[in-house]
Amino acid sequence: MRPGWFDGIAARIALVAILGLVVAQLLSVAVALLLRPTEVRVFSVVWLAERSAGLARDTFARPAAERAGYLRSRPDGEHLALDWMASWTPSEEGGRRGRSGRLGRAIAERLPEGFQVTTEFRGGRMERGGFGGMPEGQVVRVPRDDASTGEVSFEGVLPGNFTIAIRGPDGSFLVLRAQRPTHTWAWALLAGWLVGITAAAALAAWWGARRVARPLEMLALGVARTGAGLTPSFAIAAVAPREVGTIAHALEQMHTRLRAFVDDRTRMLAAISHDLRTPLTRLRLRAEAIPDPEERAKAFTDIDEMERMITETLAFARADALETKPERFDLAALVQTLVDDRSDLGAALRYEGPASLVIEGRPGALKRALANLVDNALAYGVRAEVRLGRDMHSVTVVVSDEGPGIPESELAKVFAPFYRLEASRSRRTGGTGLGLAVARDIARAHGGDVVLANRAGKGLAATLTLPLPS
Amino acid sequence: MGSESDVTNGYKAGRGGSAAARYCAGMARIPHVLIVDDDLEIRRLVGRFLGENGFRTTAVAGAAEADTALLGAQFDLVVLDLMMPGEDGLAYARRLRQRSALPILMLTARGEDTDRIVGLEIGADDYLTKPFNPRELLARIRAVLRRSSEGAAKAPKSRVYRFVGWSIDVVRRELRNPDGALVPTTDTEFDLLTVFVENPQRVLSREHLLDRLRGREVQAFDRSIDVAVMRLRRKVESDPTRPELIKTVRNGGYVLTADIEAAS
Repeated sequence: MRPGWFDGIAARIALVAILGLVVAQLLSVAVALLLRPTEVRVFSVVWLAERSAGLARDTFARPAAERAGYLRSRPDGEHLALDWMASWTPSEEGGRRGRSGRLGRAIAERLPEGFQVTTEFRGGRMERGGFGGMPEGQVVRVPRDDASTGEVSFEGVLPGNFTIAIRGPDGSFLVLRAQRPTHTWAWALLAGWLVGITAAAALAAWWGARRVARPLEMLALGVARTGAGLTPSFAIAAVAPREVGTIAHALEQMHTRLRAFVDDRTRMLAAISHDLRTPLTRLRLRAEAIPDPEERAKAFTDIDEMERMITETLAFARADALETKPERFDLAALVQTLVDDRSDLGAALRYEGPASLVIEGRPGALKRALANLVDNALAYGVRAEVRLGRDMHSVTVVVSDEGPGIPESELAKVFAPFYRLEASRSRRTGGTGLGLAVARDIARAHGGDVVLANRAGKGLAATLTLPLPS
Repeated sequence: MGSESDVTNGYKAGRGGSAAARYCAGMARIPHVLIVDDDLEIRRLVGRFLGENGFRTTAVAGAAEADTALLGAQFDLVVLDLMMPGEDGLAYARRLRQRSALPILMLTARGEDTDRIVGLEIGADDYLTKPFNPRELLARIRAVLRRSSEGAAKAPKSRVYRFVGWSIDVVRRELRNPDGALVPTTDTEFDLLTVFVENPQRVLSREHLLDRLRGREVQAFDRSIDVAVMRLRRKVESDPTRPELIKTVRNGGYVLTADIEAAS
């Protein structure tokens, strides 16, 4: 998964809060819409008759080509749907209709000769002059003329369920229907309200979630210091949620127990290794008395190997090198020193890189880590090369050999302490099986790592990476 | 004294004795080494080995016995074990150093650097980790003896030398560049630089340098001094192809051009 801002716990808490808020908002809007009373628009008969007659006169006074455009441009569009059509047929079951209705008569009275008015009412006709056909408790909207006084008379009004068809002198029709009320502005306001409140809530949620997540993040950073070889910090803010405090406490206890466990083992290893040195010294001195030079040399080799095992075991137990303080040192000089020491003993080893590269670290520990990698390369590969390089963020030391390499499936396993490869690479090398584990431990204690990879041509490349402070 | 733990070798020269005799040709007598180690077998074996190589040895089990032995005879060097019951090696070395300049070579079973530094700071002349190679012990003893006979008349050597911003601490065996960063060196490079800073602005012949270094380095010293100088230049010169610090003198050898400031 690609890491992003969304992975953080603060973002997730905020997201949950915002999601809940949005869902709640949408639900209340839905409920409000469902429970909202139906709106019915009511028209004054006189107003409707005046307006219809006026529109018919104006429309039919214009050439046929302009009529549709004229009707579209009318501001009445808000209350009345206006259509001009060549022919109009009354609907089959279209309610009651007729020229004799009060509305039809009122319109026809206001028109000259040659016009014919037909009215239709959907869903039954309203009782004359009243609201008998309407359910109680409904909102009534009454269109007003701009010129009117604002007083509405309920005498002579009609609900908006009519269709008025006025046949002009040329036989075409002007059709008027009540426009259903639209609430564009209301919808816009509602949408704006939703977006605004969500944004405001998102900000608040983010701020709050950050405050909740902050102690956890601090704890994670503090604990992560262990990986960089520093003492972990379990300190949390006083305002931290209780659970974070519980986690911190549990982690601290676990760390203390592990620390004590490791320290015990380390002390044991150190004691054993130390006690082995005295008998080994005696053995070394006794071996001087072996008369056969060849046997004597072999005895020395064995003793050297045992000593190396002791040293490496101690190194693995971190009894020595990592206890020194980090300091600034020249890594290039260190690598060259390693290479030169081995070249002097006849190894086919080459250094490539800058003459000087100062970094901060523990030179003793890193020397051991690199020596392990180099000696590994020399043991398995005929010839080896050490390349030192740096970029913006890190320093890399690549130790590559020309040996047989390692099967891909084994690449990760060889870091396990005392792990030994079978077959071709398991020839006697005198190692303890700790070299790589020690090297990686040391690199990780510096915030870096050691990785192995088979080279394209032949052999193995061990890469030690150390981060540079940014 | 007089217990079975005291082993004194006589003048008999065993294997390698002729070499020691040749080495000691300039000395008035066969060097006498006091071995202080709580392990009986190590005392016996080290005593025998040194005896075979032309030394006279006396071996004792602890600090108190060492004091008695020092009263009774003239010694040239003490091989001192660091870890002993009773007064330990470090404390004893400190006490010993306060009253005499007798060379001390420390032995320890702990490979830790701090022990080495503390030992050397107290005034031990050299340091070996158990299990040591007996031949290395021999070489170190000879080197220490030679240094003490050479330096007997001279003023005590400095511990830290500075030159054009660089500093070299001969006890900690640390070389630092003008920024204070540690610059690791091989033993040969370090010893070579030590010879240079102890003899600034003096032309040192290859033979002289080789001779000075051989005391310490046993192995791989067939390699020419030139290689060591070249490597040293790579670390301390800003442009190793045009050296400013360690210059080559035609038909002469090498010279360290910088002014040296010595500090204790």
